[in-house]
Amino acid sequence: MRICIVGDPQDLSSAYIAWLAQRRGLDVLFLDESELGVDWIFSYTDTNTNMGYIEKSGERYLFSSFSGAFVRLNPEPNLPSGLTLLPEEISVLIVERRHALQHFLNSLPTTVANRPYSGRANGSKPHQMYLLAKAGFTVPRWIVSNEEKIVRDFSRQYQGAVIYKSCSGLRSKVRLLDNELMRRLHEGTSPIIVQEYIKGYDVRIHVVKHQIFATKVISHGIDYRFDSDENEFQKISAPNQIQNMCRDYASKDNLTIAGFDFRVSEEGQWYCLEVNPVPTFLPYEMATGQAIGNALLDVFT
Amino acid sequence: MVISYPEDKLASSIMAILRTQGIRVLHTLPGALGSRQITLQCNLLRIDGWTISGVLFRVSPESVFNEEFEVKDQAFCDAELRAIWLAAINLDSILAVNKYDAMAWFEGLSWPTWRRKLIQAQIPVAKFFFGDSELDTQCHWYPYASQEPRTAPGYITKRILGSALTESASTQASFMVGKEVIAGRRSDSILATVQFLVDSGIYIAEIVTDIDDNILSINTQPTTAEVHLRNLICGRIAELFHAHLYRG
Repeated sequence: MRICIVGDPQDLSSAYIAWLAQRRGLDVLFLDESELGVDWIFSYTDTNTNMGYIEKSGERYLFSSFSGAFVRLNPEPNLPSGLTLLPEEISVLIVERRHALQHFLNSLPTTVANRPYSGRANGSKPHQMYLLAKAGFTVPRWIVSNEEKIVRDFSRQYQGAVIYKSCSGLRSKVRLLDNELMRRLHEGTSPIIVQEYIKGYDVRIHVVKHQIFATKVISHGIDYRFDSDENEFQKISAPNQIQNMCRDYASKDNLTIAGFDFRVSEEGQWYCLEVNPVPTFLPYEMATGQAIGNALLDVFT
Repeated sequence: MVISYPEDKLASSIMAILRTQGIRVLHTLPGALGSRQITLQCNLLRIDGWTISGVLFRVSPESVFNEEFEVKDQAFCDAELRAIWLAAINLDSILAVNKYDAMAWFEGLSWPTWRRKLIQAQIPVAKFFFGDSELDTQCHWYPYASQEPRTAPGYITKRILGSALTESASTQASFMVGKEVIAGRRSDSILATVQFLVDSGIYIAEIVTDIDDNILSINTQPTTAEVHLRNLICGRIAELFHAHLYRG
C-alpha cells in the first residue's frame, strides 16, 4: 500500500504521519509543493481520474495505487530550486501552482486529509459560528463590530466578561476586552469579534472519520495556545450527543480529520468555538497517548 | 449595499433602478469598505447605522478592502474584511447577489471551483487535461486564476504550473439571471447549470459552452457592453431585490 504526503515536507505532522506509515510498512511518496514540475509531476483529466498518474524520480504511479493522501500546505511555499524570476512573476507562479495543487488534491480519487475545498468556512469565524449554530451546536453569543458604543453595550450585558478575537482564519491571540481594544475602536479600526466569555475549561475534540479523541486542556490563561508552558492535557470522554454532532459536521464538510474547539462551562454546558480543518494534533497525542495519527492511517488503509 | 468599481455599468444601472423605486442604496468602492462602521449581530447586518437587507457584491473577494490602512496592516485587514463579508452575505436576512459559499469565496471565484461543483452535480463539462499532457500548442490554456483562455504555455511552464489545457473552444455565452436564461442558448446542460447555480445561491452568471454543449466556464461577475442586454439584466436583478425587500 502507498500513501502520499503533499505540500510541505518540513511540517511536523507530515513527518510524523510519514514515520508512522513507514513503521507499518507502507510506501510513502513525498510530493513537495515547491518541487512540482521539477522533482515530480501529475497528469490527469478530472472527468475520469482513473487514468491519472504521478511521476517522481523516473517512476510512474497511477492515482489508483494510492490509498490515502495527507496534506499540509505551507502558507509561504518556496520557488522550484534553481529558478530565478522577477517579483511579479513569483507571485503569479505561486498563486497558479497553489490553484493547480488544490485542483489536483480535490480531484484525487482516494481518501485525502483534507481536501482543500473542505472546511473553508474556517477562514471566517463569524460565518463558521453561524453554521455551527445552525448545525445545533451551542455557540457563545457574539457580535462583529467596529463601533465603540455597540461593543461597550454588548460587554455590559455580560458584566465585562467578554473576549475579543480576529474574524479571519489568521492566527491571533484571544484576549479579554481591554482598554487597548476600546482605544482602537475609538480611533477607528477594522471590525472584530467580541464574544461572551465562558468560565470553565477548554476541550479539543479530534474527529478522524468516525473516531473521536477528546482532550481536556487545563490552563490558567485566556488562550491556552499561547500559554503552552503551563497547560495540562487530559484524555476525557465527551458526551455522546457532542460526539455525534462533531462526526456529522465533519462528514458533511468532507473533513477526514477535524479539530473542534470547545469551552465547557462550570455548569457543564458545551460551547463550540470553531472547527479547524488543518488541526495540529501532535501536542494532544503526545500529551495523552491518544493514537490520532494511527487512526488516520487506519482510515487510509 | 452595492460594492463595485465606478466603471461597473451594470452595478450603476441596478443602483439607479433601485433608487427610482425609492429604495435606499449605499454604495462603496471595495477599497473603502474598511472605513465603514460595520456591525453583524443576530442575523442582522448594519452599515453606518443602516440595517442592510440586500448586497450586490460585484468585486473579487481577493480585492484590496482597506486602502486607507497602512500598507503593513493591509494584508491582515483584507483577510478580516473578507471573512466578515462572507459572513454578511450568508445571513438569512440578506439577499446577496451572489450568495457565495466559503469554497467559492476563498478560492477567489475561480473557474475550477464551479467546474468541480458541476462535476459533482453530474453536469457535463468540457474535457480538460491537467499538468503534463500530450496536447499540442493548438490547444487552449485556462490559467486557474483567470477567466480568459490563452495560448498554451511551453513544456516546462506547463509542468511547473500544473496547467489546465483543453481542445474545446467556446461557442456561445448564455446569461442567466435568477432561474432564467435571458440571452444565449438554452440547452439541456445550460438549463441544468442554471438550476444548480440558483440552488447554490448564484443569481447572475455567464455560462460558456463548447460545441458539444459541455460547460467550459462560468463567470459569476459578468459584464456586457450590449446596452439592451445590460438593461434586461439590471431590470431582473432590481426585481429580485425589490421582491426581497417587500416580501411578506
